[in-house]
Amino acid sequence: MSKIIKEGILLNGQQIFEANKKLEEYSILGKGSKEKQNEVFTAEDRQSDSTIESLYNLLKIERVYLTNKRSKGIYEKEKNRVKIMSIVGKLGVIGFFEDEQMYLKPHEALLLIEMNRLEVTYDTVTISVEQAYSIFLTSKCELSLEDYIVYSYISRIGYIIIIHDPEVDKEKFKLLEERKKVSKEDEMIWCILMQKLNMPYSKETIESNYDLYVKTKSDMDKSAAIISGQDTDNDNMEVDNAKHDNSNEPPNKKFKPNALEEDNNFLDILKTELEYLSYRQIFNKFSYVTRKTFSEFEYDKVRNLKFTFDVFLPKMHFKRTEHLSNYRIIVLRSNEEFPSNVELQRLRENQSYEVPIIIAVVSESLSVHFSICTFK
Amino acid sequence: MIRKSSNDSGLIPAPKRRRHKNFDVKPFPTDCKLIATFTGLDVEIFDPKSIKILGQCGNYGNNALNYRHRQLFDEEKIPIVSQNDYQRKLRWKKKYLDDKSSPIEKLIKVEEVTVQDPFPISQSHVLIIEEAMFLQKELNCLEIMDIGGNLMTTEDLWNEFCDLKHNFVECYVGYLYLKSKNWVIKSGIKFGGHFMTYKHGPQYYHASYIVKIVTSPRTCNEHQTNERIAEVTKKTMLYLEVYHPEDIDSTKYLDNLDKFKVKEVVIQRYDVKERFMS
Repeated sequence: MSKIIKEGILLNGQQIFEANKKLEEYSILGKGSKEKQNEVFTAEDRQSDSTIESLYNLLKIERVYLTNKRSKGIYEKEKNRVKIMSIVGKLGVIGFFEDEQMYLKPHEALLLIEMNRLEVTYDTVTISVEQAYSIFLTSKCELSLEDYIVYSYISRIGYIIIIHDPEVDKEKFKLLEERKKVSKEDEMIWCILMQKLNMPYSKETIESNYDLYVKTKSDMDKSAAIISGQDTDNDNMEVDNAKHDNSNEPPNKKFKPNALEEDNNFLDILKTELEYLSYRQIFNKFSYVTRKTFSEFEYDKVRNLKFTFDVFLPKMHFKRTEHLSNYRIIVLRSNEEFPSNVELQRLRENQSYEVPIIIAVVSESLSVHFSICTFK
Repeated sequence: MIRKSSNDSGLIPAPKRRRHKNFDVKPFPTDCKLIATFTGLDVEIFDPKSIKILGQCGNYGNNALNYRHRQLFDEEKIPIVSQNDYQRKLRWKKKYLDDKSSPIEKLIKVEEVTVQDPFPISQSHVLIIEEAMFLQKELNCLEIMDIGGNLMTTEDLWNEFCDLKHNFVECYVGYLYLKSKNWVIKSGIKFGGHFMTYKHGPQYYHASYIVKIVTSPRTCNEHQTNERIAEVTKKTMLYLEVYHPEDIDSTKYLDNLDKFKVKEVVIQRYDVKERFMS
């Protein structure tokens, strides 16, 4: 394969096979073993030389791809989007529809180009990866380079990541709440029926509303007894026993200690210890420094940070309009100030429903560091 | 693996490998009056009985000597001293002590022979200034003298400590807040924080939190440094933000400590890739 393959000439099967086979021969060491002593620097030099050589050889080989394995799109500069002309395979949770035509946002197109899944033309010229970076990450675009680094990192791992929109989030949450209200009792009846039939059922529904479960079950048992014509007294006894055993509490809350007050958080776990209880009077003497409550914060004096992304765990039949996010991400540069408690608290309160907040710090070398906040 | 955490976020204190059974934990020394000296840099206690009480009740203070030397002051055991150490003590006696003066009588074992200690060394127990203030002001079980032997009042101490440490007020408020939640608090200098918090004490549990009292905004790099230290040492970084009361002059803080407010937040490193794989 030392011959140069001319453009526009179709390759036969053997040529394609040989070109791809040669690519597979080279493997570059991702992480070289570290030499810890200075004396053996020659070995280290040899190792780095061989890595560079293998990298050079790998880059030297001509790339042969099947053009019909990539989706195709056209970049529309005015509306800053990519119009999809043909789709090959599945592109994942990506893009949006307008007049039954699929479009991609610039950052989505860039990710697909980087992953060799998309070929975008701009004025009949195919865009290279380098050109795509300069075209798709301009100041007009929604995302900056730092945001895109976080976006590509997380989506490559396998999470579903979408740009955060607070209004869409609110509507989604409202819809779900309404749906829950309407079908609570119906859902419980279905749950009990499925349970009786030894079919899979949602345990969460029973745990979240255990009183309704006990009530519905006893009603259903009674009507079942009437229909089958059995003696109702025995059945009532069984229901009573079940009530006594479970003491009308959800299974997961049964053994939880109730000694802590409502406002308590992770720092208060030692308040249930024996020595605290026996010396409580002395502890109360100097417990006058209290926690600042939500209402006491002065939000006007701090920066108004905003969430950049919503992150979802991958699911089989994922729908953007239905599923609630699992995490929210804010992106910061490493030379920026780290958010203070008040700023984080403000972010937390601005959420329509509470999920863990992840702070992504992107350094100048474009490496990403993630941290998670705990409030309770 | 030094520490095993039973929960995801690692916020439950991890016990030490050597389990202590049926231990009796006392959070404070009660019904006693201890005497300490303010040296100008720290607060020290020299009385062996007071040191023992502070160690047993609440684990206050830090012994200036290492473990080997601490054995020398155990009252129940006769300490074993090597021949070289004994000879050195004899030399010191010749050099520094008069023949007439014999301050403390103490026995030592030199090669299984019990003899009189020729040069007994008195141990000292160092309290961090927040501890000293707490024991003196809140529990009223500590009397602090200055080097001249005069008794210091709470106001004197407060002024001295404020001069000594620029953020003493915030640190003391943070200390009080954590102490009121039954944590044993030690200095966090070894881990880049202001305090370390333990359940029951360092002999029973590993430290749970590295506490940093936050007064000014921190950069992302600074935060990452703290977080990485906490992660490597299998602890959790706890940021305590102290809010000063408005319209109160800084000279009147001592009487208005109850108007201070505190807010805590835990920020941990989150390995997105690892979480996804698990």
